[in-house]
Amino acid sequence: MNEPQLIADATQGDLDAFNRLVLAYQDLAFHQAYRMMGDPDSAADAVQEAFISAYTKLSTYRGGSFKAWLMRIVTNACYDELRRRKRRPTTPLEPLTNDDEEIESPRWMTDPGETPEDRAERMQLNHAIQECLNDLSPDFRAVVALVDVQGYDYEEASGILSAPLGTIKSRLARARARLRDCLQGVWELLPDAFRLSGERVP
Amino acid sequence: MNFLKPSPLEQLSAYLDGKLTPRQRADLETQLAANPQLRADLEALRRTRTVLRAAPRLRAPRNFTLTPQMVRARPQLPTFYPYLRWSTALTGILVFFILLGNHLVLPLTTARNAAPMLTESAPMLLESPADAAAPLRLPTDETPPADLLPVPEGMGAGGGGGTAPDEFTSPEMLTATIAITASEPISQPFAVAALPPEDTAPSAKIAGDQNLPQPIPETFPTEQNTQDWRILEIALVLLAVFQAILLWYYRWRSGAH
Repeated sequence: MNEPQLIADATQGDLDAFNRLVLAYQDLAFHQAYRMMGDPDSAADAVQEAFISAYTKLSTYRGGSFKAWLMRIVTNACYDELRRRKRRPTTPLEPLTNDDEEIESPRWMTDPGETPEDRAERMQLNHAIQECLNDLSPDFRAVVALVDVQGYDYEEASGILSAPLGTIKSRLARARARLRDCLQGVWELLPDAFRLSGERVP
Repeated sequence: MNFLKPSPLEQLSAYLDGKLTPRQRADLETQLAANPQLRADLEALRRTRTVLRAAPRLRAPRNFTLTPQMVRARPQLPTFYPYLRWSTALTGILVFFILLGNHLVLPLTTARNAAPMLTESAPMLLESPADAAAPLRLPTDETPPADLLPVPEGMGAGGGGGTAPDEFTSPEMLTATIAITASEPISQPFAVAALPPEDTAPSAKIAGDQNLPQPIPETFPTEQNTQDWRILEIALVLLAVFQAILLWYYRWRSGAH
């Protein structure tokens, strides 16, 4: 995929060229939105809004990392959606389990090669992480999602969030401390491999 | 130069990611070697980061590709929208200051309307040096009684050889009297001197209108000016309201919240 050419064509109004970029980055965008929003439907809405906004604002892209530029739009769309939800709280429509927990659709979490036990373990881990992320403020959540979950560098996260490097370091440290305290409360629920000392290679 | 040292938590977090300077790393490692609690905190952070990095990678539940309808359906903000926003803000500020001026400054300046009326009438008392020699005229054109006028020394008072009213009202005597009351201390012996009429003008402080305060030109708001300001005020308020409605309409139409 010749990204610069696709971007140039999309800037000229070629919607097909832009849709190829969408296909290349939609997983990344959805993952970030999901970690920030906490539920798949809100994340999907935010991602769709973000791509529409990105297409209409292509003229503002001035070169550099297109991925970082796109992630900034996705993050801002999530902030907007979170503010909107705060003004008008909504009730999730997904059916609940006996424990009043949402049944997570496994469709977007399914890995064809994994066993049912692995899938259950993965869902358990995901649920624990997301519950703790949901307790953080949006600013802290965004930094942790970018750096620790998605693997961005400090400088990249600073560019995406338009925040100084010192702010990124500070928010990340405090977010990790809160997640540490939160995850300690559900440590026994995590897969065995994480409860052992030492790092687990994913 | 860092004026604020990062907290221990920030240092541990940055150390995990290899973001400390060599000196900072060396200092922290010295502390870690000596402080078991600090080592435990570092391990807890490391474990947290490991869990987060192991979070499942999610795939998009569907394709988010765009259709022409999606892109065309929402009208964009017009290109002049930023200028409209600035214009609305400036109009609002102008309205604020004009309202402030009308309700604070105008009443103060209106109070000064009465002051010039007093000074305007002052020159009317003595319009020319000749009037200084004339009998003193009050605005009501009443001549004060002779006994109210100051009696110069040596001229007697009352019935003891005092001057006759006729002599007292002569131009020379009156001028001398005015000279005493206006410019000379009372204690000085009176020297009868028939001052020529033309000399009375400089000595009489009240003679002539060049020493009188000049009428203040009309710079304060008149009724016509007030009306003009009121019209401007109303026009600016209407403009600000109209611009605000336009701003709201464009944002609503574009779907921005």
